[in-house]
Amino acid sequence: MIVLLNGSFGVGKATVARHLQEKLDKTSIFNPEQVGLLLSRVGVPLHFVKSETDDFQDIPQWRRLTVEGVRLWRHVLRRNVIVPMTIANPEYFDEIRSGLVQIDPDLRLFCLMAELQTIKTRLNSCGVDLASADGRWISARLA
Amino acid sequence: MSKSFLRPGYGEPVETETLSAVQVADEIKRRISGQAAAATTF
Repeated sequence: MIVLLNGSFGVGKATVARHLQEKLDKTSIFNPEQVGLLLSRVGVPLHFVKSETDDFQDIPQWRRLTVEGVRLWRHVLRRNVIVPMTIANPEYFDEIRSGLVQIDPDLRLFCLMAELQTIKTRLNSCGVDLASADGRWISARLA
Repeated sequence: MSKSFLRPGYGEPVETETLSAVQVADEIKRRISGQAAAATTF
């Protein structure tokens, strides 16, 4: 089984994923955010892939590596996989969903939801300053 | 009512507004358990 936890930044996907992992048998967490950080570290030039983007989800390699990462993670660990990730672009969501269901037809898709003010409060409680540069980047993607 | 990801198609909605993270995990587990599982092979 693969459980994709979608939802806004700050809604609590990672925290819920950890609790869900404890409640399900033989389950691990694969965080696609790490794939994005990896691509950033190896220097994939975002501006070459799609102009005026600062989002690693716009990199086709990120989407492919996310799917392949889940495949590898699952194969090596022989466990169910929880994938917490904000995927708001419908094309990207469909691409990743299509890839994951080929890996495991038992794909469960959930989207965590909350009021925007609640999400902002949760982000603040995690130390995210919505007035900072990073915070503004997140804030622009909350709606 | 304004909610993030209100548009359909991003997964089965799970309301978290009044629930703790543990309760949300419980709810997801309940839904998973209530659905027939497709065959899984590793």
